[in-house]
Amino acid sequence: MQAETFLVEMEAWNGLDAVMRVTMIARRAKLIPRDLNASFEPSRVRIVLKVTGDPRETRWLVAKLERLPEITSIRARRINGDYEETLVA
Amino acid sequence: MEGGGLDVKHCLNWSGGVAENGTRLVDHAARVLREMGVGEVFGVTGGSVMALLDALYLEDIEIYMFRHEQGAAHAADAYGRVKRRPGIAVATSGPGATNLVTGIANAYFDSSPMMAITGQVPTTVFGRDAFQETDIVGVAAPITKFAYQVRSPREAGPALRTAYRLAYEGRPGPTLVDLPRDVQLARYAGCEDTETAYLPVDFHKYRPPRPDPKAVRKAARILASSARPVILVGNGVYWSRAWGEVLQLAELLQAPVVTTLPGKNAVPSSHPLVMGPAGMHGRLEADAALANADTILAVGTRFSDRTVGRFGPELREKKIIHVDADPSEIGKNVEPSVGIVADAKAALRAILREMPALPARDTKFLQWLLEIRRRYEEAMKAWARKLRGLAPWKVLKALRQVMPADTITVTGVGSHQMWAEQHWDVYVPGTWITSAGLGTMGFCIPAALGAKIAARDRPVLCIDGDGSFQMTMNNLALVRDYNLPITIVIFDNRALMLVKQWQIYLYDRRIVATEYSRRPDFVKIAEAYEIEAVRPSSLSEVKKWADWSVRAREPVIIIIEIDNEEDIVLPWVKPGDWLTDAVKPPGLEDLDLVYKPLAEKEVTVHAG
Repeated sequence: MQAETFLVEMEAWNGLDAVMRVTMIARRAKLIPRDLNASFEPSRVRIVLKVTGDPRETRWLVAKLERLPEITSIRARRINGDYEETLVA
Repeated sequence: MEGGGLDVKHCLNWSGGVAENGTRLVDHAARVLREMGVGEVFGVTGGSVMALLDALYLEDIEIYMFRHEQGAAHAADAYGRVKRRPGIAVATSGPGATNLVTGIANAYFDSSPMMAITGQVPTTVFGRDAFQETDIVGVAAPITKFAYQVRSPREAGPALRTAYRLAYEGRPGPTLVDLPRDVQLARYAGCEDTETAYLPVDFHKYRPPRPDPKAVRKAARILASSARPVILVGNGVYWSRAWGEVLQLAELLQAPVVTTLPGKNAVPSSHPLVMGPAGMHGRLEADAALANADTILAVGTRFSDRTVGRFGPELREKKIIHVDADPSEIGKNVEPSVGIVADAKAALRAILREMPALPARDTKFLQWLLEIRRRYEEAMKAWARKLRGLAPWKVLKALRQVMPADTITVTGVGSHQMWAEQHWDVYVPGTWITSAGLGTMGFCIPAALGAKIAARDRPVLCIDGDGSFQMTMNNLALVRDYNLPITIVIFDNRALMLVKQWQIYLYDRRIVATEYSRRPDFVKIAEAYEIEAVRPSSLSEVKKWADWSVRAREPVIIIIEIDNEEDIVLPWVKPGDWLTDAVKPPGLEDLDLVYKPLAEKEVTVHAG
């Protein structure tokens, strides 16, 4: 399977603890991390994770992250021109 | 708190000082727990959690004093499995909390509902390496479904309710709430009116969706056209109470049912289509069924390497239909032909509805499996006759004759567990509790106590090994302290036998750090805890003592001495091998586990 790059965009609550939970799962995925960004608002955290690897592994990562109680929304986009794919609704 | 879920303005009455009984945050927490139906907790007290235990006491919630927090966590885990709602383990900050970790991890890997509540140092000294400070939320985060530190009194009620509910919602799992000491002792009166019920969690996402009709139709078509479909049952079938649907579908397809180690809990062993557990130490007929299936319908299982040996080409050649409530399990280890994210019961009912009328099924494959079973049982009988002492599997069969059908059976981890996996018959779903995913030695005694607390009217049998027993035997104190008469059987080979077995087969017989001395004397250990202990020399004595324990409602420790040169658990699929490569018990060397349809006529059929 050819490696591709994905942006995983999440919204969460519970501050840095949410970022900790996300990274604890992401580090177990067989993907190469490219970038991680988190921005904090009073009751919301936006986390963007950029990874490269097998789309199936990315799909597993997104499904696993979506299970976190802290995650209120999640979307993954393939970085490939204009093409977008939502891996988990 | 930036990014927090609640608007955490402190309650106006929170002065940070010590409040009077009844008005403390912990009093409110105890009331919340009581409202959720919590009647008992398991734990060990300490400076950072004594206020909570004080409040639980005042709220008439019973506190079971375990002798080590790991025991409390295992008890909560087993209690949760029996009651189908979370057991609660309580510990103080620092070492108390970290002692819970193994038990929490065990519950995580076996998807068991439990909730840990830990005390924490005051918020004023957070991060300053205060006495008995540990970041338990950070420690427990990767092994919990949810872990939350309460930083304001107003969060405590929502956090407890959320953690309790998350522990059982959807796929069960452990949760943790960390309560700093100053928060526990804060004055709370006045906050309740403005308190939200829960933290901002979308519980709805944990409820499995309805099975996708298109996927269900495809699954039914594949099953109907399969020559050798096999149903692989995991413990998700127990949580969904779907054993009836599994057996109905198996009967319709005349398909053998194979289980995982924890999935043994989900279907009755006595059903003629149930072949038992497959995998590293599975039964031969189950390994053969799974290996030779052309289609595997896997329900409520993660497809562990322990069950399928390896995720190699053999598995990829099969059609896999994977049903699981957790979407992250589909395709995790094995890419299925059809993945169905749904509750097991709902999915199986939908598949049953879509099944077309089937012509009479060819039962040659089943007959071949039953012939393997017959030869396997004969070989085990012959092997038992050659052993110097009692054969573990004969002891298990003798025990099964006297223990009531609804006995809750708990195991430790080691060779005794593998013998029980192969030879203990589970008659009633929900009566088999083992540490499968994590493989935690020391699980049996505290888990058996937790199961007994959950079901005081039912017999509880702990099948343990000497190594596993020694890791948590201090919790035997609870047997008399709280009148918990459990029946304990120790397979005493004075070795860490499964590891020694690997040393014999895989490390040129270099026996390193796996053989124990004769110390301690387990009879004296039993005496110290005022428990009867016996060393039976015959199967009839084993039965007599087990029967006495059940009838008299008295605890007993039955010690079965086993020669650790002879205690080799076979069959055994070596790590990385495929199921048909299993090392077979003596006398079965000629038995081929590869099904050869063209040679069917040559197979002698013994359908009984």
